[in-house]
Amino acid sequence: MSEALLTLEELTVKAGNLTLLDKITFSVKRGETIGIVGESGSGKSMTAWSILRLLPKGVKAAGGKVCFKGTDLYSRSTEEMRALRGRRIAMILQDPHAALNPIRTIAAQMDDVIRAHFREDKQARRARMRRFLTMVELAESERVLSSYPFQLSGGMLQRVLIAMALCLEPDMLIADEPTTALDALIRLQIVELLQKVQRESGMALMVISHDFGVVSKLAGHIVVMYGGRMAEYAATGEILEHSRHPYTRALLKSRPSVKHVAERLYTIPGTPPKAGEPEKGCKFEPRCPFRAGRCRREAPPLYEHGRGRVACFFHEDLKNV
Amino acid sequence: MFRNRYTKTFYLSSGYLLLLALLALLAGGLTPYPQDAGNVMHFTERLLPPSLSHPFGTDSLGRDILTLVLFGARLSLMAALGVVGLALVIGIPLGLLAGLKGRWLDDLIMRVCDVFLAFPPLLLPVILAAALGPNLKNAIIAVAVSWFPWYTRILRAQILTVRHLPYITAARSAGASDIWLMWRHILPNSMAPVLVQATLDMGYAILAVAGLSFIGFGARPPAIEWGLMITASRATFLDFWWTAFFPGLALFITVFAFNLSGEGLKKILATGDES
Repeated sequence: MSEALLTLEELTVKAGNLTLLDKITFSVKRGETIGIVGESGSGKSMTAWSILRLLPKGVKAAGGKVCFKGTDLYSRSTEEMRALRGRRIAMILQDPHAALNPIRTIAAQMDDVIRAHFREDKQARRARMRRFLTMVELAESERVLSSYPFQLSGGMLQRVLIAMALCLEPDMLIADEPTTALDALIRLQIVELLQKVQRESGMALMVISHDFGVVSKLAGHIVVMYGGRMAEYAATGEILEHSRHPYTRALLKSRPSVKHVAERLYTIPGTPPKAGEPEKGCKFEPRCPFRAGRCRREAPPLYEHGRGRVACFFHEDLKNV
Repeated sequence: MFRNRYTKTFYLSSGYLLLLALLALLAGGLTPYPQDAGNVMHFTERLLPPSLSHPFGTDSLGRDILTLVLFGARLSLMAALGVVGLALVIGIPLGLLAGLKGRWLDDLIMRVCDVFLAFPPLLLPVILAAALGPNLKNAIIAVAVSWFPWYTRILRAQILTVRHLPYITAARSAGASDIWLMWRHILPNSMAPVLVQATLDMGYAILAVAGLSFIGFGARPPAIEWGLMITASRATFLDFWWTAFFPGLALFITVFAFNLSGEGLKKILATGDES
């Protein structure tokens, strides 16, 4: 087995006294895909931004490490970090319409990205753009290049953004909700495209989504996050078939299914916790069907169970439910 | 793409302004009395009413008023460009600093702007022009210095909105440096309102400089400037209306045209955003 490309070790991120991410620990190898699943506000995107060290004002990494190729990213200089963003770790944002400057052409913006990291002449850069637009299956690459963002559809723009991220040949791609802003048909195409480009390039992929369907199709391992903590971590099959965390189970249960159309869609009662609430105990306790007195008093640690990790006192019992 | 009624207004008004600029440039060749722009007197032709040979009449020195209005357009347009250009040169860098650096620098710049904006509109230029010495260049500097805070404020406000848009974050996540972000993404996407305001202000700039000239703190004779022409007609315009009417009309139409083209630009740029 090759060594891990990216390892998060007990990464903790705080805004003042509020803990936004609490001891996040997982790793990704080259060629592997990890999925991060959770509700809005569970810390999925915050995890991505903390990897790139692009945390919002007032938010700071308060502990732990983000090791990329063996060195802690938080020990690197600002300039080293800037050179690494895009070049080594690229990122695709949620809304493709908003992720491009509206008053500049695709070619100009792709060129910016390439020029920021490579010393290539004009023809070579143009060839690079065309090569990667072809890779993301955009026909008429010349027409796309000379277009402004508003002239392209959401699906096309997402492909452009993927091409932009890939054209620097990064070691890792972080896709933050890559399909959320797209309609169902395009969603499937983009998922298949991500699968294909990852196979071809051999990079590591991190997919962040609230959509279990998207993540389970792409990822080999899944991290389930809740309230800034890891709820569960295991191989995708294990999560889908033998989840040991009540939250993961509830999430899986609330997926819409073609097989059971008549049923009313299951929803998890209550609302996701605000940052820093509840102060003690398990974050999921107020909404959990399996809760006990202990859950309110102390937070469950991450239990290792051979096939993954889970943060629930009752994981042994849940395994067989 | 931008076909609507504002487009028509914009093209009409900016067309007039271009024509005026052209006429002002070519004034010497267009008028049969180019020598009137100099220091001359024609005793026999004093205060003639509008006629075919003098469509705007003549002034108290017997000079052709149409010729003077055309030559006057040079200084008035130059004053407009000078005032707005200078105000932009001061205002934009300060707005960028305030919007991007923030914190104490932002506070400092904004408080300085507040001080400038606290004066009633024409008072500060009058004080500055009087202090610097009455001539056209100083009048331009005086108006520009008291106007730059508008551009600083608008640009700063715009930057505060734009800098948090997803494409800025996206560019940053692709490894863009701060300078790059500023030049390629933030500034171009923040400039539209500033340009609209600048166009609108061109008219007011002409008015302000003409006003300063009128009260003696701007252009001085023998310079030919619309405000100055109106001053010169003070003694005569009750009996000879055309001496004040035509320079005033030129001033009015030009200010109006700048306003219309500013409004048109605003609407056009706003439409462009929605696409």
